[in-house]
Amino acid sequence: MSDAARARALGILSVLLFFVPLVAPLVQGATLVYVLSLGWRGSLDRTSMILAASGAALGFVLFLATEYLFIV
Amino acid sequence: MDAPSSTPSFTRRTFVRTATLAGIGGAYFGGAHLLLRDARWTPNLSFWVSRGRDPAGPPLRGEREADLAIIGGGVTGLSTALHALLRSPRLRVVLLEAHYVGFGATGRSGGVLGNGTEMGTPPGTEENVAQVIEIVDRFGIGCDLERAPETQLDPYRYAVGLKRTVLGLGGAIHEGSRVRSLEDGQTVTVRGDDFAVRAPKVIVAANGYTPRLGIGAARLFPAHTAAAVTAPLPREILRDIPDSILVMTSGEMYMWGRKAPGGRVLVGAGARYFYDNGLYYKGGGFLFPALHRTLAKSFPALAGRPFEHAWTGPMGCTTDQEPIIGTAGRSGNIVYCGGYTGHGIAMGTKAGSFLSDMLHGQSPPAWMLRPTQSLPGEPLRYIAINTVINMMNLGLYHMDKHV
Repeated sequence: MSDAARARALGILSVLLFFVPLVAPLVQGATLVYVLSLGWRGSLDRTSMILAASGAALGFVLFLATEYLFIV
Repeated sequence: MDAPSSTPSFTRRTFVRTATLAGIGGAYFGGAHLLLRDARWTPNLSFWVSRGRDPAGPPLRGEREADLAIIGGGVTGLSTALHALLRSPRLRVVLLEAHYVGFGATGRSGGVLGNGTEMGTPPGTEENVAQVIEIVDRFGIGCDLERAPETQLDPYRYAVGLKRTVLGLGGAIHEGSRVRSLEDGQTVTVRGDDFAVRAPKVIVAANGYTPRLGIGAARLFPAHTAAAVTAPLPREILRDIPDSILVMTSGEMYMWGRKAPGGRVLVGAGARYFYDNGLYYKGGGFLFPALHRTLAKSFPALAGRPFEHAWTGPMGCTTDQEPIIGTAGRSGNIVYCGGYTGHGIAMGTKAGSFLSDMLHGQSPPAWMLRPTQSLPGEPLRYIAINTVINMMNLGLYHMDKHV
């Protein structure tokens, strides 16, 4: 699996698993770290980077909403 | 000689990468384990207790022999003691409660009575409400019982009334007597900080608090829920509020409610599991505004009426949302019961009579003895339970009524 495919898959997982406590922030954090490290080395295309980072950010927002807003 | 090129090689780079990932994972879950554990218990801040607390009985000191030891001074434990004493008046019953009678889910519930359980009306539960009414009437328990159009009462005063009845029948109730461990055997020793009770039969009626005793942990878990009550409302607003409130907040979860004494409206909703069977949750800054938003959405006239009193507490749950009776210990003489999923006042009273019958060799209904899905240990337990609760909150998971 290429770096780009792996980054995109992590971005998608970050969103899909947003309601799984403990696991969601771990996947989202790992996605961001992975994307940043690949981006730092210049080995990730811009589209994959945006998709993966957006997935991590959106997943984290949904995770927080699940923890604090959708609780009733 | 060089190794063939097709042989998979475990390079130093792979080793370092794997070790780093394992280290990060271990640190993450280990850190969560330390951070999320909380030994505290949420105090009972319920509206019912705020109206006045009954003086607690004396804690137990020293050693005691009994025919029956009951752990937990909620409706299940008190009903078990009551029914056991009604059947065998000379039975030496010792009930141990960690704080005070009604401290747990009993004294924090809404006091709405219904037959059956969360999932239906299984055999033996069709007359649960009638049984509570019969007990209240027979023993003259003052608990603001309303018989119609909805049957509801003050659950804390119901528990206090049961306590007085049990004491009147000769039972011993020790409040402020927290059980720390059970020593298994033909005679079980129930130990606390300053006491030990030896009894051939022990009923653990601690519901959501049970797993913390190391009993039934694979079957029972505490889920914290919230309730709140408004200030007294004007008659013209109250007129438009139904006596019993049920508002679905997703395909599975709901806000329940009722009219409370003094012209108030009482509502409750939500479920949350805390790490390692945690018993502490005061609600934070989001819970009660979310509950009030749900209330105001259904009853706009209450939008400008903030809650006057709000509280939380753990209720005992099982994976299929039905109460269970189980046995523990090598001799099977430790019996636990719980998991009412918020339907414990009438069902707990009924369960007390089932437990009392078991002392005389009678079996409870088979469904209460059914096997249930086994819950894993932490951190999988925390992840699994809250994932299901989150999915229910989001309407992504539906549990069919199965009885």
